[in-house]
Amino acid sequence: MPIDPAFLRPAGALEGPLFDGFVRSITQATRGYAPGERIGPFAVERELGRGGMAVVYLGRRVDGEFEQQVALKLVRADAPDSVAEELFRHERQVLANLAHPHIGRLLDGGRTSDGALWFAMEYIEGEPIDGWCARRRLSLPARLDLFLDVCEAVQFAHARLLIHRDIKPSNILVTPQGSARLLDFGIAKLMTQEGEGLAAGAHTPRFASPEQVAGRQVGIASDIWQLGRLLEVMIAPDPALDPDLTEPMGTRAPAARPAAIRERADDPDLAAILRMAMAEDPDSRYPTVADLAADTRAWLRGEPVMARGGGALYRLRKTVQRHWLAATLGALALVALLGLTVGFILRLAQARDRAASEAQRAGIEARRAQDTLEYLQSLIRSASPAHNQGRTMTVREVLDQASARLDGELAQDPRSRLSMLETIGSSYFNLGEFDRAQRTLARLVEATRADPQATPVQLAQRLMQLAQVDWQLDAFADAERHVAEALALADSPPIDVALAAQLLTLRAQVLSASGQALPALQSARTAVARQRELRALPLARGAGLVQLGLAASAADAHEEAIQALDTAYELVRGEVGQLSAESAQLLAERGRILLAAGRIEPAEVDLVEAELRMTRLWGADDWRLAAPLAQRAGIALQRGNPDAAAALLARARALCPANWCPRRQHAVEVLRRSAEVELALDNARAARAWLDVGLVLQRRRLPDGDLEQMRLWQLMARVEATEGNTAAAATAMQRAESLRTTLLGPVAPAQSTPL
Amino acid sequence: MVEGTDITQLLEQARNGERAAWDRAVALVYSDLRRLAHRQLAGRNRGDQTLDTTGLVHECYLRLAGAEKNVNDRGHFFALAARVMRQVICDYARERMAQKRGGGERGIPLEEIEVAEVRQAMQLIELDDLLTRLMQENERQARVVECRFFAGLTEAETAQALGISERSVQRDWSDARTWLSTQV
Repeated sequence: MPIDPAFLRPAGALEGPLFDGFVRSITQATRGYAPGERIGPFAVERELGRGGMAVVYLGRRVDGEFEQQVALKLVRADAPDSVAEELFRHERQVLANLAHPHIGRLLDGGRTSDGALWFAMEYIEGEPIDGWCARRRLSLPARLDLFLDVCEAVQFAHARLLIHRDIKPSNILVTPQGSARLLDFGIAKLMTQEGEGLAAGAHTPRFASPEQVAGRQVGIASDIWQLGRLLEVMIAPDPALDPDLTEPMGTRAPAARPAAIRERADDPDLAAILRMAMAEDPDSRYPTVADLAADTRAWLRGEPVMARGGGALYRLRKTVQRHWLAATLGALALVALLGLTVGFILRLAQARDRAASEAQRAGIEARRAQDTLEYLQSLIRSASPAHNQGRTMTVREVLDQASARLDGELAQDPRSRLSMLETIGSSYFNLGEFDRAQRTLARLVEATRADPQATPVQLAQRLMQLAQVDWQLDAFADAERHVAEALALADSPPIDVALAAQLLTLRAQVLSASGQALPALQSARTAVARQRELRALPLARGAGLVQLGLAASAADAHEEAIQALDTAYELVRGEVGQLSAESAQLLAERGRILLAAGRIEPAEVDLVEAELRMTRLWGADDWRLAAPLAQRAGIALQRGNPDAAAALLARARALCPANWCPRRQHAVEVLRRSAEVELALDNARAARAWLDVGLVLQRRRLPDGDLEQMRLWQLMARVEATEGNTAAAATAMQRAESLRTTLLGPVAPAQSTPL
Repeated sequence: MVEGTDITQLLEQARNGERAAWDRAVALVYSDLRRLAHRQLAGRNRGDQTLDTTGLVHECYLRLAGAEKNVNDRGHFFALAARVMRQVICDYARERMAQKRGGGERGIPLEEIEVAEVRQAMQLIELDDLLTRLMQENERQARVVECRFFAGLTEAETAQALGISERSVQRDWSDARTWLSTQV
């Protein structure tokens, strides 16, 4: 068919319905997905809803792991830059750990091949909260009870430095059982970070706080405004006054009615609560969600509300300012930011053990959290290329800047400085920048010592954080010293038993890493026993049991180790779900121990599963994958398939190279396995090369020697024997034997404790 | 988010035939178009979804080429941008055709607007194939069509982009049109 000359005119391709359709297609949230199509590990079942920026599908898990229905939200995103990508990954992890009965859980997330972001969320069959209230003609107290559930959820997140930014009725579903779930936590923020194009539209007009409308910075005060707005629409269509209002609120004209409520004189107290929550000036609103909730409760009990007395609020603000330090923002900031290393479970244990008492204080902390957060945000904004000679900054550079500016801008406010040090330190930790984390946390510890208002428990907690970094850096002497000091503080009256148990666990971790297998086992057993006496929460016990498992395995007490990890896995899985950093790493550890105990089949199941979950959590090129890969190579070798083993190890070495890997322990293990494979392939020279590097690394880690070094020498003996150097083989064997005797004694270790 | 220097480098690589650089250039044009379209939409009243598409594309070029100080390089940039636009639009047209086929099987009747869109898509794909042939017979003529038809460049811009005179642009454009409308 020849081309019509009329069609072939200048700019012809840019005119007409096709190009219009093209522009429409690129501005839509995402391309459409047909039932059955895959998004991540999920298959689309049907569309649930569609907005300007996002489409939501009902999805089902299809990797056969377990049956699960999810809500899949797709959001259009522009090409990522490195900062946004890092933040996305980090934020996703923080959100995945945000477990609260009134928060819809984020299960998974990623990027589709065409660049859209997707989020898998717990699928909740429910009705938007305003519709629920109206349809059931709930009484006013019942509505306020429901509202208080939402407040609790928001407060919980604020204490973890998370701001919702898009609280509105359609984001809160009420289940048939009458329980409210807040959805889309943090998603507005992730969208905003993705590109300027979305920032403008990321909030919902009728529910946007004044600062959002003005495009100013958004903090917890904005969430408080939105909660006020929510309360307003929940109580505005009072069925007694207005019986025809039974359809969902979102569809009706917004401003007229709520304004009337706010000004209504028939209930001046309730009107005062709304006015204070929705004050134009963020500083005139309730300082925290806890205060808004307290006033709502006061109203329900018929007590005077704070919103009506300026004096009371003034006093509250003063209290907040005076006592913020007494509340340990520190622990919570770390909870929110601390990442995904083997020290992981300590963090969760801390969070859970403290959750109850912290909840009371979280409000005060949130205030400080907001300041800290805003400061960091301002730095991240300053990291945009426009402010940095056209160069995109990495998150690390942002932190470096923050660190450098601490002594200048915040010198006048030592407490903010403490809070920032903590945040920066834990962020470095999270990025695997352990040297910088160590320097920052050491400064934090010194500053805490110098602070007359700091409590012994606070100092102990910060020492514990520092010790975890020491441990990461293989600075075991420092780690032991810091743990010992913290233990002394936690064990002196008033004794913080939970903290002491965590410290014992950490000590076990440090001791086993530094090759002191039997003392480590002893410390871990004590920690587990204490936690059992204490009836500690499942995650705290899980942490202790993991350490016991590792220590027992280091001491070759395989059965005790496996038993401990089995129990730990059950406890942890129940608490944080299967697709979490914690359960993935636990599986990898259990696989390693099962393999060491010669139980190859169950070991392989665990290792493959760990690898799958890690890949899903962090991507296929994450260094943490090296550990399960190296173990699987061990299995392949035992099955007489050295070629498969060699392939697995090549991947592991690429992920975790000897000169770079954040955990040198992993690197050494990969090297040792590589040598084993080369021996199996009759390539003694290559085996020797890997062993040489491994021994250098390991001796640098632990000059006194440990079981890993023993294994390296055993292999070296085999290499020498293969090459016919009988004398050298005997020497190597002797070295291995003497290490074994020093570390484990001449007899087998003691029997296990019951769990 | 992406700076001028990056683009210059990218186009340099794309010119040298690096596949990955080309893909990134395409992605860049996509995301920039999207951003600009969003901005245009945001500035409108709700419901009014029409866009000044030609203006959009031009703004996109100007933004992407903005960092380019050298007039010669600016020309190169336009020539490349025209090729990118050709790919972007033809990819969409093919995708649209594939969707139509899928929709047809399920027996979903097409809206009138979609019929027009699909007809245009068919013509475009046809033209794209013919242009690929013309590229072998007379590359310069094919490039002129890319600049004029796909990128909407003026005669002067096209002349600058391809480093030829405006007279040549006029002649090539007219010859190419004749050639294209006589092929079967």
